[in-house]
This record gives sequence, C-alpha cells and structure tokens, in this order.
Amino acid sequence: MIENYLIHILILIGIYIILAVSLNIALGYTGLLNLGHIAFFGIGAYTSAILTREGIPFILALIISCIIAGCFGFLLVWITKRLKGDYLALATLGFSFLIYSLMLNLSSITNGPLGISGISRPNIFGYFLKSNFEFLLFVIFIAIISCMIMYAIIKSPFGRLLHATRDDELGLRVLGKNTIKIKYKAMIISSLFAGLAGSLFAHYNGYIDPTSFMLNSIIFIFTIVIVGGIASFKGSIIATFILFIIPELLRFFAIPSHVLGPTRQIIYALILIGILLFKPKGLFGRIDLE
Amino acid sequence: MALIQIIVNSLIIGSLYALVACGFSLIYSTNKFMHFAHGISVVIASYLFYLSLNTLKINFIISILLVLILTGLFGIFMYKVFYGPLQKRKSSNIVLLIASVGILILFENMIMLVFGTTVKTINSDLTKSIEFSSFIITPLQIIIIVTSLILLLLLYLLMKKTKIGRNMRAVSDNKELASIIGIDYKKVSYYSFFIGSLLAGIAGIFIALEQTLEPTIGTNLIVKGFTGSIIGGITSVPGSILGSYILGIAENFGIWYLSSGYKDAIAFTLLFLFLLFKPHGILGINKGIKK
Amino acid sequence: MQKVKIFLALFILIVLIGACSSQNNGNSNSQSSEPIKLGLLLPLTGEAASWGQNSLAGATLAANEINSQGGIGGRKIELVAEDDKCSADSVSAIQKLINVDQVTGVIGPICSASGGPALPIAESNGVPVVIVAASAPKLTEGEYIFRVYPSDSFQGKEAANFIYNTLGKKKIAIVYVKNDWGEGIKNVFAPTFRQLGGEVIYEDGVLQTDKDFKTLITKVKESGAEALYLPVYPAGGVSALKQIKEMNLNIPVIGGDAFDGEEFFKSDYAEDTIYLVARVNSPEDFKAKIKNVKGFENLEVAIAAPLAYDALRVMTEAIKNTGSTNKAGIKEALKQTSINGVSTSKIEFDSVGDLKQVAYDVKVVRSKKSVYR
Repeated sequence: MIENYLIHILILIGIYIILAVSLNIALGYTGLLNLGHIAFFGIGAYTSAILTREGIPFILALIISCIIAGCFGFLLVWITKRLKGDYLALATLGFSFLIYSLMLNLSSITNGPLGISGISRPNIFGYFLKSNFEFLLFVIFIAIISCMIMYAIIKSPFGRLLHATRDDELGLRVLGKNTIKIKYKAMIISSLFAGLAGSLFAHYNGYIDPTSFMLNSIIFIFTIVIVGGIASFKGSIIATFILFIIPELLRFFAIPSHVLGPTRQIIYALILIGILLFKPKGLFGRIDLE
Repeated sequence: MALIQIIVNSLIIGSLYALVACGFSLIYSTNKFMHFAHGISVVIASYLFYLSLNTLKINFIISILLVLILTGLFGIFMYKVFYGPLQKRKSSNIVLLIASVGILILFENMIMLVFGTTVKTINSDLTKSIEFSSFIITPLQIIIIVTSLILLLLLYLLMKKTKIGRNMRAVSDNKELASIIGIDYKKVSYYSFFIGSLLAGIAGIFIALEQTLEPTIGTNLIVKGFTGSIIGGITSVPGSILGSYILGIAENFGIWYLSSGYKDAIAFTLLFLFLLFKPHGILGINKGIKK
Repeated sequence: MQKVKIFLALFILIVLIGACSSQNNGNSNSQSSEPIKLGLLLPLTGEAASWGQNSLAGATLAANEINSQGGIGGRKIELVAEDDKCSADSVSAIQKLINVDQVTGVIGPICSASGGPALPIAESNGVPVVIVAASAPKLTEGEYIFRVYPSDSFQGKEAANFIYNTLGKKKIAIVYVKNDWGEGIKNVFAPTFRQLGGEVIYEDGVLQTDKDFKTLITKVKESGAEALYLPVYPAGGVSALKQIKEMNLNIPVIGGDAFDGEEFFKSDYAEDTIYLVARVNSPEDFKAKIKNVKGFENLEVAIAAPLAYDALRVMTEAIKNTGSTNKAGIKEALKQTSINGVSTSKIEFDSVGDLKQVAYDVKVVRSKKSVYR
C-alpha cells in the first residue's frame, strides 16, 4: 500500500526535478523570464503520446519530443527577441495560452478537450516497463543523467557566459559576445529538457489533457524554482521534494477529499507568497529574481 | 438583423471585459506591475453579492453598495498585505506578477472551500427582454452597457479633473519625479487599488446577474480583461477600454463564422499577435518596452 | 558532493521499497481455496461520494449473498475498493488494483472522467471490467470492457427518436459541450436524426467554461431550427437557457441527463426544459436489503446501488461459467452471460459490451421540480 504510494510520488518528483531544473537554466542562470515553460512540457507530452499512438517506438518518440520542444524554444526566443522585462514575461505567458488553445482546438491531432488516453507504458528495446517500480528506476536514471548534463553545462565556460548574460548583458556585448546566440542556446537546452519531462509524464500517467498545462501548473513549477532559489541547482531539487511532500502530509489528517484539493492549492499559494515576502532569495538562492 | 444583434452582443460582453480591464490597467499604470489577482476581486464581489442578496436577503440596492465597498477594501487589503511589503523591499515587477497569480489561486480555492464548486444563479426581474426591429436586449444588458460607459467617462474625468487623478497620472508618468514634487505615491497606490477593485466589484455584480457563478470564473475573466488591456495599451485606461470592446467584437464576429469552441483561441491569438508586433497596444505609450 | 549523497539516499530508499513490493507480489500466487479478488473503482470521497457509497453497498450485498451460498466453486469473493475521486486519479487507483492486489476483475467506475484515463490500462492488462455508471460511449471500446448502464450513444439515439417522432420536429439544432460526454452524444444523435428523415440544420460545440451564448443563439435563430438539442452541463446550461429566453428563441429545448439535478431545477430559467434520463429500477424490497448490509444502515439508496449489485452479479456469473479465474476466459464468458437484473429486467451485452436493451424516461421541469412528461 504505502510503498506504492511512495513510488508514485517519487516518479512525479523525478519528472518535476527535470522540469524545475530546466526552468532554472533559463530563468535563474540566464535571466530569461520565461512563463511559457509549461508549454514545452505540454508539447513534449503531446508529441510523445501522439507518436507512440501512431506506432513509433518509445525511445524514438522521446527523442523527437525533446527535439520538437527544443524547436519551440528556439521559436519563442526568435519571436520575442525584441522584448524585455514585463513584456517578455507576458509574451511567454501568451505563448503558453496559445499552445494551450492549440491543444484544445486541433482536435484531429490532439483529441481536443477530451485529451489522449491509453498512452502506452515505455517499451525500451523490447523491455516493457510495466510496473511502477520499473518505471521509477527508469525515471531516476533519466533524471540523474539529465541533471548531470545540465550541471555540466552550467559549470562549463558556456555556463559562466549564461551568468554573465543575466548579470551584465551590455558588458558582455562590449566584449564582443553575441548574447542573443547565448540566449538561443540556453532556451533550447531548457525547453529540450522540459520536453523530455513531458514525454515521461505522458507515458507514466497514461493520460493527458490540455488542463494539465495551464496557469496553475505554470505557477507550480515557478513555485518550485523560487522556493529552491534562483540559480540554485540544489535548491530546485530539494524544493521539488518539499513541495510534493508537504501536501501529502495532509493525508494523515482526516480531511475529506473535496476539501483536500483546494487545501493543497491554498498551501502552495501560501508557500509561494510567503517565500516571496519573507525569503525572496529562496532556500538556497544567492540572487533575487529580477 | 443578425449583424446588429452581434454588435449588441459584442457591446454587452465588451462592457464586462472593459470593467475588468480598466481597473487592471489603472492599477498597472500607477504601480507598474500586473495585478492578475484582479480577477479574484470580480469573483469575490459576485459571491458577496450572492451571499447578501440570496442568503442574507438584504435589499438589492444596499447589497450593491455593501459589495462595492467591501470589494474596494479587499483591494486595499491585498495591497497592504501582499504588494506593499514586496514593493518596499524593491522586488521586481516579475516577483509581483508571480505573487499576484499566487494570490489569485489562494482566494479562488478559499471561495471553493466556503461556497463549494456547484454552480449558483441569481434570479432577477431585469431579464425580461425588449424586442426592437433588428435586435433583442434585456433591461439588465442596457444597464450594463450604459453603466459601463458612464463609469468609464467618470473615470476619465477623475483622471483629468481631480487632484487625485492628476497625482495618479503623475505617478504613472514618472514615479521619481512625482515624489520629488511631493506626491505621496503610496497614497496614490491605495487610491488606485480601491478604485480599481471597486470597478471589479461592479463587474462582479453584473456577472452574477447576467451569467452563473462558479469559483473558477476569475481566471478566465482576468485573462480576457488583460487581453483587452494589451490590445488597447495597458498603460492607458481609455486604451484598455477600447481594447476590451475590440476583443468583444472579435470574439463574437469570430464565432459567427467559426465554431463557438474557437472563442478563447481567437482571444489568445489576438493577445499573442499584439504582444509580438504592437506590445504597447493601440493607445499605449511606447516607452521602456523595447531596448 | 551533496548531490551525490542525495541521489545515493534516494537509491537506497528505492531499493528498500522495491524489496517490500516484490515480497508482496510473491505472496499472491493464487491457490484454489483462496478468495477471488474483485476490484471496485469508485469515488469514495469528493462530490460524487454518495454514488460511490451506494455502489459499495450494492456490490457488498451481492458479494455477501454469493459468499453465504458458499462462494464460487468453494472460493469466496473478496472486494478491494479504491478511490478514484471521479477524476484522472483513477490511473493510480486501477494500477494498484491490477498490479498490487492482482484482482480478477474490476467493477466501476461511476464517472467518465475517471473511466477515460483508467480503462485503457485495464484493457492493455487484459483485466475484465463491468462499468457501473460511466456513460461515455467510447469507454466500452475495449474487448474487456462491459457496462450495465446505458451508453450515451443510446441517449443520443433515444433523443433523436423522441424529438423526431414524439415532438414531431424535423429541423434540429444541436449545441453540445466539447468533451467525452457531449461529443459522444452528438456523434450518435446527428446520424440517427438524419436517418429518421430529419435535418440537422445547425451543429456547434461549446467549451465547458463558456457562459456567453448570445451570438450562438443568434445563429440558431437564423438557422430556422424547430427545436434545440442541448447536451451541456448545468453551469453552462443555465446561462444558455437564460439567454435563450432573453433572446426569444421560442423553440423546445431538450437536454441530456446532466440536467437531472437540484441545482438545475432551482434556477428560474430551467422551466419547461425537457431532458432524457436512463431508467434504472430500484425496487423497495431491494432498498430494504441494502439497508440490512452492515455499515450501510443509514444510506439513502440511489440508483448506483442496484447498478453495482447487477455489475457484480454479472461478473461473478461469468467467473462461474468460466470455471476458473482466467481473465481472457471471463471476458469471453461475459459476452454470453445473461442474468435477470434488479436495475433492468435483462442484462445481456451486445458486441461492443453495452446493454442490449435499454429504456429512457422523458422528464420536464415544472415549477422547479422534475416530473415525468
């Protein structure tokens, strides 16, 4: 009983760690105010679900999901490259609304508001990840690999360029660096991993619909990154654990489930507002969100 | 026949969007951050109205006054408890934007806990229709359109002719300069939150009477109001009103030709196009947007 | 370094969990005297909890009756209930039933919102399911999925018949909510109505969040439809009916079974609205038996109880006919099984897995109450 529940939570934590860390690459390390991150997650989930439905092997679908999410990341930077500050944030928010309404209205591909159900469990070169425990091992494997890659990126010379883009874009350009190019690269990396997380989510849950990729979910991953701390790798990982586990503690109180849903949302909102008000750098962050 | 009816339909929904948008834009222009929780002010107003009228059986007019004052105070409460402290520590606009969505989610779920998720309706005598040769309208809908236009005119006069309005515009143009010449921008913020939320209260009452109540309508309303503001220019209150009516017209003419399922897609597409190609909107000022 | 430690800690945790769960799996090698486990996938909490409790009571009564007669081939029936909250939470619930409890079959769900995500999982694992009340037509698409409640496709068909033959309206407009339920009804209604010789003169889907239907109503009015078929939910439905009255669209409005609820009748605008709802019998002596079941003495018996009772009985009958707990065998047996039900006189499945015979009641809202028409 309990261990199955733990496996379920740990799988979600694994998926959201990839999602949160990848958001932190764009938001924290590069300073791109991207409110459209959830759209990449959704694009990854839909791409993978649709491709496997058409008979394409899971591994290939997973890779294509990453690539397509990455392409959208490129596209988003390309169309918003003239915008700054508030307007960049809003255009990215508008982007996620637009992707949401595409999921809703391109019914022939996405099945519209009904969502896609019966998404198959991953089949890796003939080995079928049927049980949740096997899936968990797979998610942990992917999460560790992803985090190692992203960690290597931010510690590399390119990672230092990202920091510099965030802290002093003008100075960097004076030195002759093409900051737009750096932003493209950062966003592509970020969206690529979001697509990866989306694909894992679709194949774990077996069911996706557009509502999983709307405003509430955007705020949830922002809450993770902000609670953990901007540009803190460790922070994002720990915050994912915290934010998944705290609401689960509610289950130990006898709260009826129609109260549980809203209560959980209230707790998330209070954590977010509380952190912004009292510990704006997050638990492990060193810098403020600008 | 149909053409005029659709224009009337656009005006009705446009008026509701405009009431949401102008408060949002007023708060933006003096505070320079996106107050997404504005949507929840509308919802709180409509539930308070339901509570006062249907549950407590308070007189119609008194209910309206009560709701407006309470919603205005709720606006001040939000500023005092959440935004004020954030501004004081010089948080960026993005932090305030994210906090505002947090506030929206917080209160939306509180309403869900208190009132439940089942749909509520307020029955009213104002919905007996009047038939003209080319269109049909109800007294309530006439009141919505006329009240909106009068309020928007009053808002314009307030901004242009009164001291507080001039202070608001001064703060909106240049906060530092305004405080140098002795304007207390904190006070201006309180005023703009009170007036903006009061306008949201009016929208909330109209929505309670004209549509049905659900806790989750706030998100949809603020997204539409926000879209209207962006189209018209978020820094300009008249602009955001104009933008709201344009949005109403685009939606209604859009679904005249396409399926009704595309209503939100039409709005989102317009929003995105404006953000990309004309982010300062039709009447907004082109300052500090592009680098 | 810290990161490595965290991952290490995680891994140890995982391995421990894995050890626990594999132990569990080891235990459940079934022997012939062990009870037969059946899973219940129901909303035990949340807004549809009363449906869930009723189903639980109905299923428990059926299991008690079978067990008191010695069970099936000497093996007792054991029920394992999991909460699906009428939502996509059903995914983890059904996975638990299938992988951990290793049930022979599943009874439920109540809601299409829960069935849509969960049932494909049962299908791909080859676990037979008898749905209690979830009504979206496509739910029974799988080989292993059966249902004791009429599919919405019947509702669409019945509504088309009623509007064309009883009301005598030949030109219809249909406005449906864009989800499983609304599209399922529409997809059957429109072709049936055309087949009867009628004309579907206008057809449009609306979003569940939409509250402003004025332009849509203008379009319906322009179309010259003689009646409007409106399978939408109460929240949008009340708004739509209000605006229909305001805009003097004076044609009969016929709704779906979603209108069968207090919140709908209470509104000023529901008056005279006709809707169709499936007929489910719930005789007094059955209600009395339910109240004798331990733990359900104070239950207000609703239609879910006889439905779940029948669902469990048809499942156990099929197991008896198969003579084993071979799931593929039970699936084949379910196709042939025929029993006399409580909720409806004869329970037999057609080629899709839906009831062969169904009946609908036509109701109308009068003075804020629902009455037979």
